[in-house]
Amino acid sequence: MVRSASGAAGHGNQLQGPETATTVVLRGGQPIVKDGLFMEGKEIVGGYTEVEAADLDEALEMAMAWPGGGTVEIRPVVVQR
Amino acid sequence: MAGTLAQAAAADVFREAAARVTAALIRRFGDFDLAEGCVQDAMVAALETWPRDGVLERPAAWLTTVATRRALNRLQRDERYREKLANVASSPRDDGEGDDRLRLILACCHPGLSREAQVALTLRAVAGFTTAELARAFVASEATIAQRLVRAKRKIAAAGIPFRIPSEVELGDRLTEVLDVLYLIFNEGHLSTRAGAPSKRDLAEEAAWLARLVCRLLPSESEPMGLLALFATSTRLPPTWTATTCSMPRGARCCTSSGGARRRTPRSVVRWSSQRTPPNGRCSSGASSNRSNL
Repeated sequence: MVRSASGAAGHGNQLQGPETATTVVLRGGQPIVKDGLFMEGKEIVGGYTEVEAADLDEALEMAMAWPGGGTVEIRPVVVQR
Repeated sequence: MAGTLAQAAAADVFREAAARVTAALIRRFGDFDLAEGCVQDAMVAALETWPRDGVLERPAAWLTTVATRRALNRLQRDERYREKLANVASSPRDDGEGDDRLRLILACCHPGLSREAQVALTLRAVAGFTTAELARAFVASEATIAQRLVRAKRKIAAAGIPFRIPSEVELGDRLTEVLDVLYLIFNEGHLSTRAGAPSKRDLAEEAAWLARLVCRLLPSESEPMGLLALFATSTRLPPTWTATTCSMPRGARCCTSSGGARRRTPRSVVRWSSQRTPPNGRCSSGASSNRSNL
């Protein structure tokens, strides 16, 4: 565990590379699924959550039903073996 | 000795009677090939039985009777064959290879992949394109295409794009991409980019078969029917027409309603022609009326 005088690093994961990303845009009516990252220039990450999904379709189903709207980027995490 | 004599007698009878018996069968069945074939069958039977049983009193009548029976048998057999063929054609082939290929197409056309990757991967995995052929189709270098394929495969593995047929709701969303890809496969078969093979019917048929499979899986969707109708009309065009003008009438637009394929597809793959636009410019209406023929 990484520590400093006043704090300690908590939960974290290394994400797989940007080429593995899938983005779901929830603005407007029908969610749009596309290949790649959503961040360009001034866009920022507003939050993150870790989900368990068997495959990309399951992750997409969750992303498309996400209550927050906006854009959801799906990235697989690096699994340490 | 008796055999030789019988054969000689048979030769005389054949010379004498063949035309008469054939004519009688043509009159009865109205089919030249059938009559000739059955008379020959009857002669073979004569050569087998006459040396053994002796030549009958009226050999020509014997030949006529045998040939007529053969003809009736053949017609019955053909009838049964047609019935079986119709049964086979109408029974669903939702198992084995066909479905696997559809799964493969759906994985290749997953929305998590870029359109370029979808098309390239499907053509590679399903239609068996080489990297060189893909490069020519996309007007890109082979290195670019190879890289695109590698990236696409890596994404499938890393992101966990599944190899399965999704629910009908999802399938509908993926349909446009799949149809675009099927259309490109058909186009490649219909007007090949490969030298020395101006028309590879097998690829076109494969695309049509896959389109038919999609039609069966999504009977409520009109777009696959439209694409299938387009395939059917295009296949029936004389080859010279397609070679000199283009491969598709503008009716194809209704099958690529997203517009994505038309915009992103290189002109070398899809060539449009205003000369062959059907009168109403659409093929969806024709799809439903042609349904029973496809």
